[in-house]
Amino acid sequence: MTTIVARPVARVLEPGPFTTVQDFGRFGYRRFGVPTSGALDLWSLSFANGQVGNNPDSPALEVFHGPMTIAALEDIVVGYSGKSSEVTVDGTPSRENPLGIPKGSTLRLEPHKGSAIIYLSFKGGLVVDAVMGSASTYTRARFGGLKGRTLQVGDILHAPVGVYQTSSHTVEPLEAPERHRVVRGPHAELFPPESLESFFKAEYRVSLDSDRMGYRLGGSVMRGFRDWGRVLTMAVFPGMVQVTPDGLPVVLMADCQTTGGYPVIGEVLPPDLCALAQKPPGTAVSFEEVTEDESETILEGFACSISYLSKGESG
Amino acid sequence: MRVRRFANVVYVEFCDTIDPECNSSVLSLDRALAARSPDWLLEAVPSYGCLALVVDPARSTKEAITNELKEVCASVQAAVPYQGGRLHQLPVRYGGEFGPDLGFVARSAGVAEDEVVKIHTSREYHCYMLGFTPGFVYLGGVDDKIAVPRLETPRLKVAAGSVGLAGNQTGFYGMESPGGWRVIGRLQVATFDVGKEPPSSILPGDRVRFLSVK
Repeated sequence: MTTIVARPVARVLEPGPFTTVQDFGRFGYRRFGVPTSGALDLWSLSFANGQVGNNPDSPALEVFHGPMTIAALEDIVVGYSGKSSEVTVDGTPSRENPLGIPKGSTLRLEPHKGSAIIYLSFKGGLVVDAVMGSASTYTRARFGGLKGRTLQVGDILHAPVGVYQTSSHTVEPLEAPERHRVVRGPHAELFPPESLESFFKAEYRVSLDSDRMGYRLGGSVMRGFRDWGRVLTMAVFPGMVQVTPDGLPVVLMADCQTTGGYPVIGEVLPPDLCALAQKPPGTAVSFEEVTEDESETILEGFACSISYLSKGESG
Repeated sequence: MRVRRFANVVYVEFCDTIDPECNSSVLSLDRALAARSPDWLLEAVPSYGCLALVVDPARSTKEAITNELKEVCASVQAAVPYQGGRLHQLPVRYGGEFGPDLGFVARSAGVAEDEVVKIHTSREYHCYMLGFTPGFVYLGGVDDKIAVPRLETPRLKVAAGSVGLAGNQTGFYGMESPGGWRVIGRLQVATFDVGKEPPSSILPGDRVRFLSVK
Protein backbone atom coordinates (compact mmCIF):
# COMPACT_ATOMS: atom_id res chain seq x y z
CA MET A 1 0.00 0.00 0.00
CA THR A 2 1.30 3.46 -0.84
CA THR A 3 1.38 5.79 2.10
CA ILE A 4 -0.19 9.13 1.37
CA VAL A 5 0.71 11.93 3.70
CA ALA A 6 -2.53 13.26 5.05
CA ARG A 7 -3.51 16.40 6.88
CA PRO A 8 -6.54 16.80 9.14
CA VAL A 9 -9.15 19.01 7.46
CA ALA A 10 -12.37 18.62 9.42
CA ARG A 11 -13.83 17.37 12.68
CA VAL A 12 -17.23 15.70 12.83
CA LEU A 13 -19.60 17.54 15.19
CA GLU A 14 -22.87 15.83 14.20
CA PRO A 15 -22.32 12.59 12.25
CA GLY A 16 -25.88 11.98 11.04
CA PRO A 17 -27.57 8.59 11.35
CA PHE A 18 -25.53 6.76 8.70
CA THR A 19 -22.68 8.72 7.16
CA THR A 20 -19.88 6.68 5.55
CA VAL A 21 -16.90 7.16 3.24
CA GLN A 22 -17.68 5.75 -0.23
CA ASP A 23 -16.14 5.66 -3.69
CA PHE A 24 -17.25 3.59 -6.69
CA GLY A 25 -16.77 0.35 -4.73
CA ARG A 26 -14.48 -2.67 -4.88
CA PHE A 27 -14.47 -4.82 -7.98
CA GLY A 28 -13.34 -8.38 -8.43
CA TYR A 29 -14.09 -9.56 -4.89
CA ARG A 30 -17.71 -10.68 -5.11
CA ARG A 31 -16.30 -14.12 -5.88
CA PHE A 32 -14.98 -14.11 -2.28
CA GLY A 33 -18.34 -13.07 -0.87
CA VAL A 34 -17.26 -9.43 -0.59
CA PRO A 35 -19.95 -6.93 -1.68
CA THR A 36 -19.09 -4.13 -4.08
CA SER A 37 -20.22 -1.40 -1.66
CA GLY A 38 -19.52 2.12 -2.95
CA ALA A 39 -21.98 4.99 -3.33
CA LEU A 40 -25.66 4.08 -3.51
CA ASP A 41 -26.07 6.91 -6.01
CA LEU A 42 -22.95 6.84 -8.18
CA TRP A 43 -24.16 9.72 -10.30
CA SER A 44 -24.47 12.10 -7.34
CA LEU A 45 -21.05 11.05 -6.01
CA SER A 46 -19.58 11.87 -9.44
CA PHE A 47 -21.41 15.20 -9.43
CA ALA A 48 -20.12 16.19 -5.97
CA ASN A 49 -16.57 15.24 -6.95
CA GLY A 50 -16.89 17.17 -10.20
CA GLN A 51 -17.73 20.34 -8.27
CA VAL A 52 -14.25 20.40 -6.71
CA GLY A 53 -12.28 18.97 -9.63
CA ASN A 54 -11.80 15.52 -8.13
CA ASN A 55 -11.99 12.35 -10.17
CA PRO A 56 -15.60 11.08 -10.32
CA ASP A 57 -14.75 8.09 -8.11
CA SER A 58 -12.77 9.91 -5.40
CA PRO A 59 -13.73 8.93 -1.84
CA ALA A 60 -16.34 11.29 -0.38
CA LEU A 61 -18.89 11.27 2.42
CA GLU A 62 -22.25 9.64 1.81
CA VAL A 63 -24.63 11.48 4.12
CA PHE A 64 -27.54 9.06 4.30
CA HIS A 65 -30.61 10.61 5.92
CA GLY A 66 -28.67 13.58 7.42
CA PRO A 67 -28.26 16.10 8.94
CA MET A 68 -24.53 16.25 9.39
CA THR A 69 -22.23 18.97 10.76
CA ILE A 70 -18.47 19.34 10.49
CA ALA A 71 -15.99 21.98 11.66
CA ALA A 72 -13.21 23.02 9.28
CA LEU A 73 -9.74 22.61 10.80
CA GLU A 74 -8.22 24.72 8.02
CA ASP A 75 -9.57 26.64 5.02
CA ILE A 76 -11.21 23.98 2.86
CA VAL A 77 -13.21 23.70 -0.33
CA VAL A 78 -16.08 21.21 -0.57
CA GLY A 79 -18.63 20.18 -3.17
CA TYR A 80 -21.99 18.56 -2.67
CA SER A 81 -24.81 16.89 -4.56
CA GLY A 82 -28.50 17.66 -4.38
CA LYS A 83 -29.81 20.93 -5.75
CA SER A 84 -32.22 21.38 -2.89
CA SER A 85 -29.88 20.28 -0.12
CA GLU A 86 -30.07 22.56 2.86
CA VAL A 87 -26.55 23.87 3.37
CA THR A 88 -25.45 26.36 6.02
CA VAL A 89 -22.06 27.78 6.99
CA ASP A 90 -22.03 29.03 10.59
CA GLY A 91 -25.83 29.02 10.45
CA THR A 92 -26.10 31.10 7.26
CA PRO A 93 -27.73 29.35 4.27
CA SER A 94 -25.50 29.04 1.21
CA ARG A 95 -26.08 27.97 -2.38
CA GLU A 96 -22.44 28.14 -3.42
CA ASN A 97 -21.08 24.94 -4.91
CA PRO A 98 -18.11 24.51 -4.68
CA LEU A 99 -18.13 26.10 -1.30
CA GLY A 100 -15.17 27.51 0.61
CA ILE A 101 -15.25 27.05 4.37
CA PRO A 102 -12.83 29.10 6.44
CA LYS A 103 -10.86 27.48 9.25
CA GLY A 104 -12.98 27.32 12.41
CA SER A 105 -16.33 27.56 10.61
CA THR A 106 -18.99 24.89 10.69
CA LEU A 107 -20.79 23.35 7.73
CA ARG A 108 -24.19 21.77 8.17
CA LEU A 109 -25.89 19.70 5.49
CA GLU A 110 -29.34 18.20 5.36
CA PRO A 111 -30.87 16.35 2.42
CA HIS A 112 -33.98 17.98 0.98
CA LYS A 113 -37.16 16.27 2.22
CA GLY A 114 -37.66 14.50 -1.10
CA SER A 115 -34.20 12.92 -1.17
CA ALA A 116 -32.29 10.51 1.00
CA ILE A 117 -28.62 11.20 0.36
CA ILE A 118 -26.10 14.03 -0.03
CA TYR A 119 -22.53 13.41 -1.16
CA LEU A 120 -19.97 15.74 0.34
CA SER A 121 -16.63 15.90 -1.47
CA PHE A 122 -13.42 17.59 -0.32
CA LYS A 123 -11.05 19.19 -2.79
CA GLY A 124 -8.22 16.69 -3.23
CA GLY A 125 -10.32 13.81 -1.89
CA LEU A 126 -10.37 12.04 1.49
CA VAL A 127 -7.61 9.80 2.74
CA VAL A 128 -8.57 6.47 4.30
CA ASP A 129 -6.88 3.09 4.13
CA ALA A 130 -7.89 1.27 0.98
CA VAL A 131 -9.17 -2.26 1.49
CA MET A 132 -9.16 -4.49 -1.58
CA GLY A 133 -8.52 -1.49 -3.77
CA SER A 134 -11.35 0.69 -2.49
CA ALA A 135 -11.99 3.31 0.19
CA SER A 136 -15.62 2.25 0.49
CA THR A 137 -17.01 1.39 3.90
CA TYR A 138 -18.71 -1.96 4.39
CA THR A 139 -20.11 -1.63 7.90
CA ARG A 140 -21.51 -5.15 8.23
CA ALA A 141 -18.05 -6.67 8.06
CA ARG A 142 -16.44 -3.58 9.60
CA PHE A 143 -13.84 -2.79 6.96
CA GLY A 144 -13.06 0.05 4.58
CA GLY A 145 -13.65 3.77 5.03
CA LEU A 146 -13.06 5.15 8.48
CA LYS A 147 -12.37 2.08 10.67
CA GLY A 148 -15.10 0.17 8.84
CA ARG A 149 -17.91 2.11 10.49
CA THR A 150 -20.23 5.09 10.19
CA LEU A 151 -18.84 8.46 11.24
CA GLN A 152 -18.98 9.36 14.92
CA VAL A 153 -18.76 12.59 16.86
CA GLY A 154 -15.14 13.71 17.08
CA ASP A 155 -13.88 11.80 14.03
CA ILE A 156 -11.18 13.68 12.13
CA LEU A 157 -11.30 13.66 8.33
CA HIS A 158 -8.03 13.77 6.39
CA ALA A 159 -7.18 15.03 2.93
CA PRO A 160 -3.96 14.36 1.04
CA VAL A 161 -1.05 16.76 1.49
CA GLY A 162 0.11 18.44 -1.67
CA VAL A 163 -2.01 16.24 -3.87
CA TYR A 164 -4.43 18.15 -5.98
CA GLN A 165 -6.03 15.84 -8.46
CA THR A 166 -7.41 17.84 -11.28
CA SER A 167 -10.19 16.43 -13.29
CA SER A 168 -12.20 18.52 -15.66
CA HIS A 169 -15.01 16.00 -16.02
CA THR A 170 -18.46 17.40 -16.26
CA VAL A 171 -21.33 15.29 -15.13
CA GLU A 172 -24.22 15.10 -17.55
CA PRO A 173 -27.64 15.58 -15.98
CA LEU A 174 -29.11 12.28 -14.85
CA GLU A 175 -31.87 11.27 -17.17
CA ALA A 176 -33.92 8.91 -15.09
CA PRO A 177 -37.67 8.89 -15.63
CA GLU A 178 -40.10 8.90 -12.75
CA ARG A 179 -40.89 5.21 -13.27
CA HIS A 180 -37.70 3.22 -12.73
CA ARG A 181 -36.73 1.28 -15.82
CA VAL A 182 -36.34 -2.46 -15.30
CA VAL A 183 -35.41 -5.40 -17.50
CA ARG A 184 -36.94 -8.77 -16.75
CA GLY A 185 -34.71 -10.85 -14.47
CA PRO A 186 -33.47 -14.45 -14.64
CA HIS A 187 -36.54 -15.83 -12.84
CA ALA A 188 -39.24 -13.59 -14.35
CA GLU A 189 -40.56 -16.43 -16.48
CA LEU A 190 -41.31 -18.47 -13.35
CA PHE A 191 -43.82 -15.91 -12.08
CA PRO A 192 -47.45 -16.19 -13.15
CA PRO A 193 -48.35 -13.49 -15.73
CA GLU A 194 -50.64 -11.68 -13.29
CA SER A 195 -47.79 -11.32 -10.76
CA LEU A 196 -45.45 -9.94 -13.39
CA GLU A 197 -48.13 -7.57 -14.55
CA SER A 198 -48.78 -6.36 -11.03
CA PHE A 199 -45.04 -5.78 -10.52
CA PHE A 200 -44.92 -3.41 -13.48
CA LYS A 201 -48.22 -1.72 -12.66
CA ALA A 202 -48.12 -1.43 -8.90
CA GLU A 203 -47.16 1.60 -6.90
CA TYR A 204 -44.87 0.57 -4.06
CA ARG A 205 -43.52 2.54 -1.15
CA VAL A 206 -39.98 2.45 0.21
CA SER A 207 -40.11 0.68 3.58
CA LEU A 208 -38.56 1.99 6.77
CA ASP A 209 -36.22 -0.99 7.07
CA SER A 210 -34.42 -0.12 3.84
CA ASP A 211 -30.67 0.27 4.09
CA ARG A 212 -27.47 0.11 2.05
CA MET A 213 -28.01 -3.61 1.52
CA GLY A 214 -31.47 -3.38 0.05
CA TYR A 215 -34.52 -1.17 -0.35
CA ARG A 216 -37.59 -3.10 0.71
CA LEU A 217 -40.79 -2.08 -0.96
CA GLY A 218 -44.27 -2.30 0.49
CA GLY A 219 -47.47 -2.56 -1.51
CA SER A 220 -49.24 -5.03 -3.74
CA VAL A 221 -48.27 -8.64 -2.96
CA MET A 222 -47.23 -10.97 -5.78
CA ARG A 223 -48.69 -14.44 -5.45
CA GLY A 224 -48.34 -17.76 -7.13
CA PHE A 225 -44.61 -18.12 -7.59
CA ARG A 226 -44.28 -21.83 -8.25
CA ASP A 227 -40.74 -22.59 -7.22
CA TRP A 228 -40.30 -21.16 -3.73
CA GLY A 229 -37.23 -22.64 -2.14
CA ARG A 230 -36.20 -24.28 -5.38
CA VAL A 231 -34.24 -21.45 -6.91
CA LEU A 232 -30.62 -22.55 -6.75
CA THR A 233 -28.32 -20.03 -5.06
CA MET A 234 -26.66 -17.88 -7.70
CA ALA A 235 -24.71 -14.65 -7.93
CA VAL A 236 -26.82 -11.50 -7.50
CA PHE A 237 -25.86 -7.85 -8.00
CA PRO A 238 -26.94 -4.34 -7.01
CA GLY A 239 -30.03 -3.32 -8.97
CA MET A 240 -31.55 -6.79 -9.00
CA VAL A 241 -35.05 -7.08 -7.60
CA GLN A 242 -35.64 -10.15 -5.48
CA VAL A 243 -39.07 -11.25 -4.38
CA THR A 244 -39.08 -12.57 -0.80
CA PRO A 245 -41.56 -15.23 0.40
CA ASP A 246 -43.96 -12.49 1.58
CA GLY A 247 -44.50 -11.64 -2.10
CA LEU A 248 -42.83 -8.22 -1.87
CA PRO A 249 -39.86 -6.90 -3.83
CA VAL A 250 -36.46 -5.96 -2.44
CA VAL A 251 -34.16 -3.89 -4.63
CA LEU A 252 -30.60 -4.95 -3.92
CA MET A 253 -28.24 -2.05 -3.24
CA ALA A 254 -24.47 -1.51 -3.09
CA ASP A 255 -23.89 -3.55 0.10
CA CYS A 256 -26.06 -6.48 -1.00
CA GLN A 257 -25.03 -10.09 -0.43
CA THR A 258 -23.08 -11.63 -3.34
CA THR A 259 -25.29 -14.69 -3.79
CA GLY A 260 -28.98 -15.26 -3.24
CA GLY A 261 -31.62 -17.94 -3.40
CA TYR A 262 -34.73 -15.78 -3.82
CA PRO A 263 -36.17 -15.39 -7.32
CA VAL A 264 -35.01 -12.30 -9.23
CA ILE A 265 -37.94 -10.76 -11.09
CA GLY A 266 -36.04 -7.88 -12.68
CA GLU A 267 -33.05 -5.58 -12.67
CA VAL A 268 -33.27 -1.82 -12.23
CA LEU A 269 -30.96 -0.10 -14.72
CA PRO A 270 -27.95 1.70 -13.14
CA PRO A 271 -29.04 5.32 -13.76
CA ASP A 272 -32.48 4.56 -12.37
CA LEU A 273 -30.93 2.77 -9.39
CA CYS A 274 -29.23 6.10 -8.56
CA ALA A 275 -32.63 7.80 -8.64
CA LEU A 276 -34.24 5.02 -6.60
CA ALA A 277 -31.48 5.25 -3.96
CA GLN A 278 -32.53 8.85 -3.36
CA LYS A 279 -36.07 7.89 -2.34
CA PRO A 280 -36.59 8.26 1.40
CA PRO A 281 -38.83 5.78 3.27
CA GLY A 282 -42.50 6.31 2.50
CA THR A 283 -41.85 7.60 -1.03
CA ALA A 284 -43.75 6.08 -3.95
CA VAL A 285 -41.83 3.84 -6.36
CA SER A 286 -43.00 2.29 -9.59
CA PHE A 287 -41.37 0.40 -12.43
CA GLU A 288 -41.49 0.37 -16.19
CA GLU A 289 -40.36 -2.55 -18.29
CA VAL A 290 -37.73 -1.93 -20.98
CA THR A 291 -36.40 -4.42 -23.50
CA GLU A 292 -32.88 -5.82 -23.47
CA ASP A 293 -31.93 -3.69 -26.51
CA GLU A 294 -33.28 -0.52 -24.91
CA SER A 295 -31.38 -1.31 -21.74
CA GLU A 296 -28.08 -1.58 -23.60
CA THR A 297 -28.44 1.89 -25.10
CA ILE A 298 -29.32 3.35 -21.71
CA LEU A 299 -26.42 1.57 -20.01
CA GLU A 300 -23.90 2.69 -22.58
CA GLY A 301 -24.92 6.31 -22.24
CA PHE A 302 -24.75 6.14 -18.47
CA ALA A 303 -21.38 4.39 -18.48
CA CYS A 304 -19.90 7.11 -20.68
CA SER A 305 -21.39 9.98 -18.72
CA ILE A 306 -19.75 9.11 -15.40
CA SER A 307 -17.19 6.49 -16.48
CA TYR A 308 -19.27 4.19 -14.34
CA LEU A 309 -17.48 0.95 -13.44
CA SER A 310 -14.36 2.05 -15.26
CA LYS A 311 -11.75 -0.64 -14.98
CA GLY A 312 -8.83 0.34 -12.81
CA GLU A 313 -10.20 3.72 -11.91
CA SER A 314 -11.41 2.97 -8.43
CA GLY A 315 -9.10 2.96 -5.45
CA MET B 1 -25.57 -24.41 -21.52
CA ARG B 2 -27.56 -21.22 -21.73
CA VAL B 3 -26.30 -17.64 -22.00
CA ARG B 4 -28.69 -14.91 -20.88
CA ARG B 5 -28.06 -11.23 -20.49
CA PHE B 6 -29.80 -8.95 -17.99
CA ALA B 7 -28.62 -5.36 -18.43
CA ASN B 8 -24.97 -5.36 -17.32
CA VAL B 9 -24.95 -8.98 -16.11
CA VAL B 10 -24.51 -12.06 -18.29
CA TYR B 11 -25.33 -15.44 -16.77
CA VAL B 12 -23.73 -18.51 -18.33
CA GLU B 13 -25.91 -21.27 -16.92
CA PHE B 14 -24.74 -24.88 -16.96
CA CYS B 15 -27.20 -26.63 -14.63
CA ASP B 16 -29.55 -25.93 -11.75
CA THR B 17 -28.36 -28.67 -9.44
CA ILE B 18 -25.59 -29.04 -6.87
CA ASP B 19 -23.26 -31.29 -8.78
CA PRO B 20 -19.44 -31.27 -8.62
CA GLU B 21 -19.01 -32.08 -12.31
CA CYS B 22 -21.28 -29.28 -13.44
CA ASN B 23 -19.58 -26.91 -11.01
CA SER B 24 -16.24 -27.91 -12.52
CA SER B 25 -17.50 -26.73 -15.93
CA VAL B 26 -18.40 -23.39 -14.35
CA LEU B 27 -14.95 -23.11 -12.81
CA SER B 28 -13.18 -24.12 -16.05
CA LEU B 29 -14.93 -21.33 -17.92
CA ASP B 30 -14.13 -18.92 -15.09
CA ARG B 31 -10.45 -19.84 -15.32
CA ALA B 32 -10.35 -19.62 -19.12
CA LEU B 33 -11.97 -16.19 -19.09
CA ALA B 34 -9.59 -14.97 -16.39
CA ALA B 35 -6.67 -16.06 -18.58
CA ARG B 36 -8.00 -14.11 -21.58
CA SER B 37 -9.11 -11.14 -19.47
CA PRO B 38 -11.29 -9.48 -22.13
CA ASP B 39 -11.60 -5.74 -21.59
CA TRP B 40 -15.40 -5.88 -21.40
CA LEU B 41 -15.28 -8.22 -18.39
CA LEU B 42 -15.38 -6.33 -15.10
CA GLU B 43 -15.98 -9.20 -12.73
CA ALA B 44 -16.87 -12.90 -12.80
CA VAL B 45 -18.68 -14.69 -9.99
CA PRO B 46 -19.04 -18.48 -10.02
CA SER B 47 -21.87 -20.23 -8.18
CA TYR B 48 -23.05 -23.86 -8.14
CA GLY B 49 -24.11 -24.18 -11.77
CA CYS B 50 -23.70 -20.72 -13.21
CA LEU B 51 -20.99 -18.19 -13.99
CA ALA B 52 -22.13 -14.58 -13.67
CA LEU B 53 -20.24 -11.95 -15.67
CA VAL B 54 -20.47 -8.23 -15.04
CA VAL B 55 -19.84 -6.58 -18.38
CA ASP B 56 -18.79 -3.04 -19.26
CA PRO B 57 -21.31 -1.79 -21.80
CA ALA B 58 -19.02 1.05 -22.85
CA ARG B 59 -16.29 -1.33 -23.99
CA SER B 60 -17.95 -3.87 -26.16
CA THR B 61 -21.02 -4.63 -28.16
CA LYS B 62 -23.48 -7.39 -27.39
CA GLU B 63 -22.24 -9.31 -30.45
CA ALA B 64 -18.59 -9.08 -29.44
CA ILE B 65 -19.37 -10.40 -25.97
CA THR B 66 -21.55 -13.23 -27.28
CA ASN B 67 -18.97 -14.25 -29.88
CA GLU B 68 -16.06 -14.23 -27.49
CA LEU B 69 -18.06 -16.29 -24.98
CA LYS B 70 -18.88 -18.86 -27.66
CA GLU B 71 -15.22 -19.10 -28.59
CA VAL B 72 -14.06 -19.52 -25.00
CA CYS B 73 -16.77 -22.08 -24.24
CA ALA B 74 -15.75 -24.14 -27.25
CA SER B 75 -12.10 -24.11 -26.20
CA VAL B 76 -13.03 -25.03 -22.63
CA GLN B 77 -15.14 -27.99 -23.69
CA ALA B 78 -12.31 -29.24 -25.86
CA ALA B 79 -9.74 -28.86 -23.09
CA VAL B 80 -9.05 -31.06 -20.09
CA PRO B 81 -11.85 -30.74 -17.51
CA TYR B 82 -11.21 -28.67 -14.42
CA GLN B 83 -8.82 -30.47 -12.15
CA GLY B 84 -9.65 -30.08 -8.48
CA GLY B 85 -7.74 -27.36 -6.66
CA ARG B 86 -5.75 -27.78 -3.51
CA LEU B 87 -6.68 -30.01 -0.59
CA HIS B 88 -7.03 -28.22 2.75
CA GLN B 89 -7.05 -30.14 6.02
CA LEU B 90 -8.77 -27.86 8.50
CA PRO B 91 -8.73 -28.45 12.28
CA VAL B 92 -12.13 -28.02 13.96
CA ARG B 93 -13.23 -27.98 17.59
CA TYR B 94 -16.62 -29.65 17.56
CA GLY B 95 -19.47 -29.15 20.02
CA GLY B 96 -19.72 -27.17 23.25
CA GLU B 97 -19.48 -23.41 22.92
CA PHE B 98 -17.93 -23.84 19.44
CA GLY B 99 -20.74 -25.97 18.06
CA PRO B 100 -24.02 -25.12 19.81
CA ASP B 101 -26.11 -27.17 17.35
CA LEU B 102 -24.09 -30.40 17.51
CA GLY B 103 -26.57 -31.81 20.02
CA PHE B 104 -29.52 -31.00 17.75
CA VAL B 105 -27.85 -32.72 14.79
CA ALA B 106 -27.05 -35.79 16.91
CA ARG B 107 -30.65 -36.03 18.17
CA SER B 108 -32.17 -35.61 14.73
CA ALA B 109 -29.76 -38.23 13.31
CA GLY B 110 -30.41 -40.54 16.27
CA VAL B 111 -26.70 -40.97 16.96
CA ALA B 112 -24.16 -39.79 19.55
CA GLU B 113 -22.40 -36.44 19.06
CA ASP B 114 -19.09 -38.25 18.48
CA GLU B 115 -20.69 -40.17 15.66
CA VAL B 116 -21.81 -36.92 13.96
CA VAL B 117 -18.21 -35.71 14.16
CA LYS B 118 -16.98 -39.00 12.74
CA ILE B 119 -19.40 -38.75 9.81
CA HIS B 120 -18.59 -35.09 9.17
CA THR B 121 -14.82 -35.69 9.17
CA SER B 122 -15.00 -38.86 7.05
CA ARG B 123 -15.38 -37.12 3.68
CA GLU B 124 -13.53 -34.75 1.44
CA TYR B 125 -15.80 -31.90 0.36
CA HIS B 126 -15.74 -29.98 -2.90
CA CYS B 127 -15.76 -26.18 -2.58
CA TYR B 128 -18.44 -24.98 -4.99
CA MET B 129 -18.25 -21.29 -4.32
CA LEU B 130 -17.85 -18.47 -1.83
CA GLY B 131 -20.71 -16.14 -1.24
CA PHE B 132 -23.41 -14.63 0.93
CA THR B 133 -20.95 -12.88 3.28
CA PRO B 134 -17.19 -12.25 2.99
CA GLY B 135 -15.32 -15.53 3.00
CA PHE B 136 -18.30 -17.86 3.49
CA VAL B 137 -17.30 -21.18 1.91
CA TYR B 138 -19.97 -23.47 0.41
CA LEU B 139 -19.09 -27.18 0.49
CA GLY B 140 -21.32 -29.95 -0.75
CA GLY B 141 -21.75 -33.68 -0.48
CA VAL B 142 -22.71 -34.10 3.18
CA ASP B 143 -23.85 -37.58 4.27
CA ASP B 144 -27.70 -37.75 4.30
CA LYS B 145 -27.53 -39.09 7.88
CA ILE B 146 -26.48 -35.69 9.24
CA ALA B 147 -28.38 -33.49 6.78
CA VAL B 148 -30.48 -31.04 8.82
CA PRO B 149 -32.66 -28.05 7.94
CA ARG B 150 -31.49 -24.51 8.62
CA LEU B 151 -32.44 -22.76 11.86
CA GLU B 152 -35.97 -21.38 11.77
CA THR B 153 -34.72 -18.10 13.15
CA PRO B 154 -31.21 -17.19 12.05
CA ARG B 155 -28.72 -16.13 14.73
CA LEU B 156 -27.82 -12.45 14.71
CA LYS B 157 -24.19 -13.26 15.40
CA VAL B 158 -22.22 -16.30 14.31
CA ALA B 159 -18.49 -16.34 15.10
CA ALA B 160 -15.88 -16.31 12.35
CA GLY B 161 -14.76 -19.85 11.51
CA SER B 162 -18.05 -21.44 12.60
CA VAL B 163 -18.70 -24.68 10.71
CA GLY B 164 -22.32 -25.23 9.81
CA LEU B 165 -24.74 -27.64 8.17
CA ALA B 166 -27.72 -26.85 5.91
CA GLY B 167 -29.28 -29.79 4.13
CA ASN B 168 -26.56 -31.62 2.22
CA GLN B 169 -24.33 -28.62 2.38
CA THR B 170 -21.64 -27.83 4.89
CA GLY B 171 -19.57 -24.68 5.06
CA PHE B 172 -18.00 -22.11 7.27
CA TYR B 173 -18.19 -18.40 8.02
CA GLY B 174 -15.16 -16.34 6.99
CA MET B 175 -16.14 -13.44 9.24
CA GLU B 176 -18.53 -12.90 12.11
CA SER B 177 -22.00 -12.40 10.63
CA PRO B 178 -25.65 -13.27 11.08
CA GLY B 179 -26.46 -16.79 9.90
CA GLY B 180 -28.99 -19.60 9.78
CA TRP B 181 -26.85 -22.70 9.37
CA ARG B 182 -26.68 -25.27 12.21
CA VAL B 183 -23.30 -24.66 13.81
CA ILE B 184 -21.47 -27.81 14.90
CA GLY B 185 -17.91 -26.57 15.43
CA ARG B 186 -15.37 -23.87 14.82
CA LEU B 187 -12.24 -23.81 12.65
CA GLN B 188 -9.01 -23.39 14.56
CA VAL B 189 -7.44 -21.55 11.64
CA ALA B 190 -8.47 -18.32 9.91
CA THR B 191 -9.34 -18.71 6.23
CA PHE B 192 -10.26 -15.10 5.45
CA ASP B 193 -8.18 -11.94 5.83
CA VAL B 194 -9.20 -8.67 4.18
CA GLY B 195 -5.54 -7.61 4.03
CA LYS B 196 -4.46 -10.61 1.94
CA GLU B 197 -4.62 -11.18 -1.78
CA PRO B 198 -6.69 -13.20 -2.41
CA PRO B 199 -8.53 -12.61 0.87
CA SER B 200 -9.64 -16.25 1.18
CA SER B 201 -7.21 -19.17 1.42
CA ILE B 202 -9.98 -21.55 0.26
CA LEU B 203 -11.05 -21.10 -3.35
CA PRO B 204 -13.80 -22.57 -5.53
CA GLY B 205 -12.64 -25.94 -6.84
CA ASP B 206 -10.52 -26.65 -3.75
CA ARG B 207 -11.24 -29.64 -1.54
CA VAL B 208 -11.67 -29.56 2.22
CA ARG B 209 -11.32 -32.24 4.87
CA PHE B 210 -12.14 -31.42 8.48
CA LEU B 211 -10.03 -32.78 11.33
CA SER B 212 -11.46 -33.00 14.84
CA VAL B 213 -9.12 -31.50 17.43
CA LYS B 214 -9.58 -31.09 21.18
